[in-house]
Amino acid sequence: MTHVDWQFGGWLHEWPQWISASVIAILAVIGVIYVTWFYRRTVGELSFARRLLLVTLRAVVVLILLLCLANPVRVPNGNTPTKPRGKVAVLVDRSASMSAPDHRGNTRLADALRLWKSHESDVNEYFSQITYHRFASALQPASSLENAVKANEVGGETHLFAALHQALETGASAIVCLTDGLDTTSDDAGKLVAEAVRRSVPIYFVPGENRVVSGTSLTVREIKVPAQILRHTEFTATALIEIAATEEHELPVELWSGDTKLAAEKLPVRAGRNTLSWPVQLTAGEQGPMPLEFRIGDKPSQIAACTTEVVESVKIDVLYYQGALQWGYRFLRGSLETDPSFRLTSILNPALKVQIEFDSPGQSALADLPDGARELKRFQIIILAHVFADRLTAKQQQALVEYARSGGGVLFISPDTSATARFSGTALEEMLPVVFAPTVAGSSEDLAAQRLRNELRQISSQSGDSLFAGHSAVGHERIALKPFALPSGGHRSAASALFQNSDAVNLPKFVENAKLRAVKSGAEVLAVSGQGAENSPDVLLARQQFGSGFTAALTTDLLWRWKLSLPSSSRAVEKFWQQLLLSLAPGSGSGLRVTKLTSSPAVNAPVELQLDASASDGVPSLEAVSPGGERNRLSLHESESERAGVWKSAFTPTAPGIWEVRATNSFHHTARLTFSVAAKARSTELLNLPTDLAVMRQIAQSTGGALVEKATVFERSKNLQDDFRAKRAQPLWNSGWLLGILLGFYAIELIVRRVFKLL
Amino acid sequence: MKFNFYVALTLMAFVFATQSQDDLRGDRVGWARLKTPSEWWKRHAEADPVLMKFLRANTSLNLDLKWNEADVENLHDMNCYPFLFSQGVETVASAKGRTNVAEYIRRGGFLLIDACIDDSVTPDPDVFFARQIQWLAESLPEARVLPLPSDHLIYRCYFQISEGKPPHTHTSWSQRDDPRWTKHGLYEIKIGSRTAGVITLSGLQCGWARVGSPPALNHDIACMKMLVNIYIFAMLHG
Repeated sequence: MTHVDWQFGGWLHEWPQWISASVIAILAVIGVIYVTWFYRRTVGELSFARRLLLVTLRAVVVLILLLCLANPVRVPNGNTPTKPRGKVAVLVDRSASMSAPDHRGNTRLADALRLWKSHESDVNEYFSQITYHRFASALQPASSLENAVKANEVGGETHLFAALHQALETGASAIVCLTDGLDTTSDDAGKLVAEAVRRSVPIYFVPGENRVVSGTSLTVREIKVPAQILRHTEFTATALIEIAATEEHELPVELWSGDTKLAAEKLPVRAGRNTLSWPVQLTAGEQGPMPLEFRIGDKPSQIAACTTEVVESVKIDVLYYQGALQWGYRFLRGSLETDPSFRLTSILNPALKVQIEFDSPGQSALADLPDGARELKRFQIIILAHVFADRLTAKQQQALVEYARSGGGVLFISPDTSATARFSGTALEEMLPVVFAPTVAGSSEDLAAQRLRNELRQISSQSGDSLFAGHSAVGHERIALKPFALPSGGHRSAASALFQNSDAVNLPKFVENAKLRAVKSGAEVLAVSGQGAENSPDVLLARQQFGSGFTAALTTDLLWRWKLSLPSSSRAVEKFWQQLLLSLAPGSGSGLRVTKLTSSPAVNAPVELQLDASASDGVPSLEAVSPGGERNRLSLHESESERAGVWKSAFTPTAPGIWEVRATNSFHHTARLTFSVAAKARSTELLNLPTDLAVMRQIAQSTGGALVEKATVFERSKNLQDDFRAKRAQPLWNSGWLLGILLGFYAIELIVRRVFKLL
Repeated sequence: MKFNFYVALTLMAFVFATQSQDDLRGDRVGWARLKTPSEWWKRHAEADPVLMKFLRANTSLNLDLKWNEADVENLHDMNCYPFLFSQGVETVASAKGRTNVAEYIRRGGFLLIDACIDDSVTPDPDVFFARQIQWLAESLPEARVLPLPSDHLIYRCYFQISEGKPPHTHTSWSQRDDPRWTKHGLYEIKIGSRTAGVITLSGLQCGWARVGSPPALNHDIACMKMLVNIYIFAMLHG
């Protein structure tokens, strides 16, 4: 659909539209008056009717000329394309939870199908092709909706996110998924959203609901505590909890060290399956073992306990890679130099052709970023500052991903939106806690034009004459520093350690920041833009657990202007960088802790366990304690993991109830874990968890889709091509038809004049 | 109108010619001269845009093309720039000015002092150098001024500077070997392990302003190359 926009040409274009319109109108009136006057007297006598005919013909010519001068343009409106195109993939969840009937015999699948049928004709009209698939643990094609719904047997697991990810690869323009939103794997929804955003594919969910009586479960999936902590420093202990609930409620959680309660809180739990992260900010005391015990829930609470070691000193090896020449490096380096714990190895992008050398013991340089994770593993943290996607090879990016996954810390820093946009969809972006805005202009011509604009902007503040004539052009920089701010609700996160006791004056300040598309689910926002943010604040610092390591993204410059703005006596900048890097650095080795690998323990079914410990402390012992108090020593075998100090074990519970496993090392440090053992095995799929509308809504909204309700309208997402077309104006006057009409009228007038013997 | 067209055309050609460098530019930053009570503080400033263009064309530095002034009496002005160019600080006599320069350097700023080789500005290079040292000793007592050896990284961190010494300018090309000037290499202002500034008695600014040397000798280019090395060294090692 199009609409006509009026745009005046020539010298009229420079004026306000109403003035131009008035001028055209006046000219039209003058033209008609002139034509009338022109035919007032003629060589021969004319009747009134003949005179009127000639006046009309001439007036039409004049008015067409004025129309050309007015220059109307046609502007296509891209919101509602006229022709349907693209294909939509319809996915049907055939897992067991969709087929479980409630007391009325209704299934979630039937409910979702009913809702879908009311919309199917709309989608048929809009898209040129519909493909059908069914999934439980794998995506399978189906010839029709009926075929997708029919299944010989239902799946015991739901790999929802994986199935949607696979559907994205089919080249669909949109995805519709009939499901209850339950994913029984530990897959990350953030990756799915990032991929859908990158491909500009909206995901629609058609939810299936019924009134089945739901079950509940509570598991401490993992606790994360650094193996070693520098004394009198702050650190984060985190419990990762999986809970399935029938209704919204609050889950009491506590953290103890010996007889001292360190923290307590009530975590909000929504109906359905929840994965909750409870990070607690702690301060290490004096040198020695520090026992930590998480108590989750009540009546009875589940316990996960470990021991960490408070040490006198630690060494943190940092690898710093810089893609562009900028001043932040020396200020960051200076901040780390004040603490001998940090040893810095620097790499400057070889394309910069700059040499760096160091002769101080805490500093060294490398020629280029290694392309193997093994070479990176000697560093605890890697900083990527002002990097460019096309300057990092696929191998280098993959090495960084493997490095972070296996326990390294990666800090990505860039204030440049155009540079970060080029990481959209790369392996590097996958591991970061944020999703970058996708690249809009990709061609070299666009880049050149952008550079030209930058250059022109550069000289716009001074006289172009003076620049090219070599005259002096003096100015005064006016740099406005913008403050960081704490995100709302960040009071109990690692942010409180980074910015603890910081009033507004001591919070970091920056000049530029890159814009983001989104923060991944599961990531923790540590800082946002503060005062002066026009709309919603920009995310400046976010981090997330990635595999066994941490990744963080700082979307500002390297804060060197903040350093220059502070009194030389201030140590705020040094503290910020050191705390940030400490929060990302993995502990050397592993603390003593036990992790349960079996998700739903049951009587007479083996329960697998993993034991992490410091390799230098020798082989720890492990025992299982039954609900009746019987103790069984468990055998350990070394894991095939690359990391030393990882053991596996297993035992078979013989009775239902609360079981406990305890590990003890040669220093008598202990770790323990309690969990409930059911009489009969029940997978997450069969717990009859409520339909997860919140997850579906979040994914749908993040990708431009919707959670389908009766009133939902399907439409294809706006893509860049549409936007471009919407802005493209086509002049209407520049047509052969109009010229032909104009000449036609003029010719008719001449002929008529000849007929009337006026020529 | 025509002028704008040619400007755009020239810039377009420049943009394509320097494409690989533009892909790598980092934070934008300004170039500034330290405004002191000296009447000479902005001598040769008219040639600074030439230096800026050289820096942008030959490196991936994201430098503003205009030059700025940073008043020694205004610390906020000075803090806008990580690198300040100065004709000399010995004329800064006020307590505020002295404190500002010292505080700027302590915060992490980098100061380049470049002596003008005109006899009317710097009659005696040794006296000029001694005054800088004395001023620094009084205002920034923790700083030491040390000569940089000829194999120092500053002579090769970007451009290879031949013979490991800075190019010397003189008001008359025939007097270019005047030992009063040429005996001086580069000096670093050192605070702890950090190089917080550089002092030159080579008239680098006079060089890129094409004083005293025929253009065909490319002495201006040599001086700008030396400045590029000092700037990059300050960014990475200062």
